[in-house]
Amino acid sequence: MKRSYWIILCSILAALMVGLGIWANQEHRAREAVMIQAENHYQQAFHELAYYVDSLEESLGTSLAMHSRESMRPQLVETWRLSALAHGAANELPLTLLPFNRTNEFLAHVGDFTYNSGVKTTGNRPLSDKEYRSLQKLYKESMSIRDGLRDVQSKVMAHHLRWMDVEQALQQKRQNQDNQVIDGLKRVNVQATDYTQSFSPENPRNTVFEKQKLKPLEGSVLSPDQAATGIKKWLGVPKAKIRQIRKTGKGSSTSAYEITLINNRTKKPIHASITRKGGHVIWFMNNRPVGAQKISFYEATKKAKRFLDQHRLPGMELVKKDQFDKVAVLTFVEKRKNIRVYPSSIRLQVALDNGEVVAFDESDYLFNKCDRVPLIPKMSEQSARRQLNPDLRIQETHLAVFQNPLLKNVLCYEFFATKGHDTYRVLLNAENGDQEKVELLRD
Amino acid sequence: MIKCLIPKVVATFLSLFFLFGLNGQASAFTNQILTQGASGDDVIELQARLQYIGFYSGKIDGHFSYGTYWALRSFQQKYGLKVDGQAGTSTKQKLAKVSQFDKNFIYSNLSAGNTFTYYGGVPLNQQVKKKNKGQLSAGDGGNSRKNQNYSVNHLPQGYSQSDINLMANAVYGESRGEPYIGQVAVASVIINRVADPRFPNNISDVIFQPGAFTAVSDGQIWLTPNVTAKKAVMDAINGWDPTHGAIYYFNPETATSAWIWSRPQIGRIGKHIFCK
Repeated sequence: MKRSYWIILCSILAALMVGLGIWANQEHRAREAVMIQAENHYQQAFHELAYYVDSLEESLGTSLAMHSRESMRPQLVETWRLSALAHGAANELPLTLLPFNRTNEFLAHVGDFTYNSGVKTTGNRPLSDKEYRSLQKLYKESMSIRDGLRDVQSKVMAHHLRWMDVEQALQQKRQNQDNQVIDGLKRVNVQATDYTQSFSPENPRNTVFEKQKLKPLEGSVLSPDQAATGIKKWLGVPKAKIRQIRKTGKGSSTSAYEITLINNRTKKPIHASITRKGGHVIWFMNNRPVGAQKISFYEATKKAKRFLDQHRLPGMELVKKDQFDKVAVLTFVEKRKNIRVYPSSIRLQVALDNGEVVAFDESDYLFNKCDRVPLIPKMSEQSARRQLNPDLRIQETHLAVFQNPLLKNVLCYEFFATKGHDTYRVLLNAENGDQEKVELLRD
Repeated sequence: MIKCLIPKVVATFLSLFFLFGLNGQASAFTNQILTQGASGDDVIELQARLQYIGFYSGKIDGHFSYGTYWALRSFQQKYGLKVDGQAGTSTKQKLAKVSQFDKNFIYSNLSAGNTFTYYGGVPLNQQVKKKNKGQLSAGDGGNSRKNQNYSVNHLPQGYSQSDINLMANAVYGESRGEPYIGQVAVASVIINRVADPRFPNNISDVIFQPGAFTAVSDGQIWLTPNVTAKKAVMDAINGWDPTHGAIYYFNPETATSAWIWSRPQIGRIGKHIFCK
């Protein structure tokens, strides 16, 4: 009796063990398949990157042999295409936590340069010496990046290195383990760093946060208490409690105090950022719930204008009006001699329940340097108009200062034109007629 | 909800109509001034009336868009009014005098989600294209019906609805326990990365870049975001950046990467440290 009991128990256990084994094996296989798939995806992205950088180098080299812009144009466009593809492939690698930034930056540079000299520039003026030198520099750089990537590639192939290991290694606390892929890519990055530094006057996009490019602020340096008193007065909430004051760290483009107040009436927090120098309000947000809409959109725009006047920001023109939920979002731009200065803008949110301004942002107005912009057009409006498609019906024309992707402030003719149901905004450079921007306005 | 609202809205309008009618003001509009960017019942009436006399050819959707703006301006020009693109008292009176507005026709089609126009002189039944029943059930049913009344949440320039949804998902997955300002900050980091040459240049590529966001790696991005996360995304898109241009952030309690600590820090919002 007892013996047969044991036999049954043992056989059940054995069956369970076998079942468990089979199940575990299947799980393991499924996991393996997923891992291999992920690994293959990374491998594909990396080999694509290496291939595109290879072709990029060749394409840059080829374009150096040509002289006129017209003959160079197809080659520059091809380079532009390759840089976009390479950038895409690079961004599919698990390298967010690795300083691979500079390679991406290089690719973005190539893209910017080839677009601006090969696609955007009209006419057949030959490449300037400066452009030619930039091209040579980019070519030289592409060679060293290509060599670095090819080196990593051969190591990956020879030693069967896996990107999944790279991903894991990067997430660990200490990065100085022996991972050949990471080492190789770091070397590529160091080379690219040298290049970026030597290239930096041409480096267009990083200048946004370069201090000397920001408009210097007026006024004296404030203590945290002074800043807090100032913001309470500015917002008209003298009795608000201060919950927190923090100074921004050294990574910030401007030294500021981050202040959180608790509104004594609504008990809701108001967040604000005030520059240390001069105590200018960069932005504030009053995070209160908005009730049912009681005032019209038109009244909201009036309230916003009054708010700007009260805070000594007169002479702004309302250029963009949106409504999201029960809040009106309004964008104002500075007007100088009847010219819209787009880079110098202020945004406001007005709650449509009682017309209170619940958010404000003047970072662009404060920091975008727009002096030294010529405010007199070299081209007549008539000759600019002639460049537009004759099918477009021009509804409005303004002069406007526009910040182009190279972060240069240029004087433009701004045309609002319609065709069928669509409205377009066309910005033509008022100096040379280049098309700076065409926008299809959706609303 | 909308269905039970409409009779009320109609009733209010009718009472207003009689009120103003008796006062000799031939208008069913409320007395607010309409300007570009506004939305609501008055805008529906404005668009319908402009379409009736052939100035407006766009969709009657209750949103004062550019199309409505140009239509109103050309109306004002034609009738010798002040051309300002705003519907004030005199413009609305003139418009009410020269056009018609069939409220029942417009609102029944709007709430049914039909494609329709409202030109004067054309039989109304020729101007309606009924919405396909099957299409309605296949789509997001009640939701689309609600929005079709008039779309208040139209999209900011350069962003699609799916961009915004995806960002809301990411913000919710990454920072749902954070204060509101911290959620705006996370959304800002996504936008700053799109603008930065070292990162991909569109929203979805930035969010799905391998290893970039923990919420993507562990699947929390697929939780359903709440209204706060969506609002935070809209604020960030509209230009509020509490991070002063940060492109990285990390939670100091859980961050394992040594490299992230070496980045120049900007400040701390809630649990996250933001850095360049």
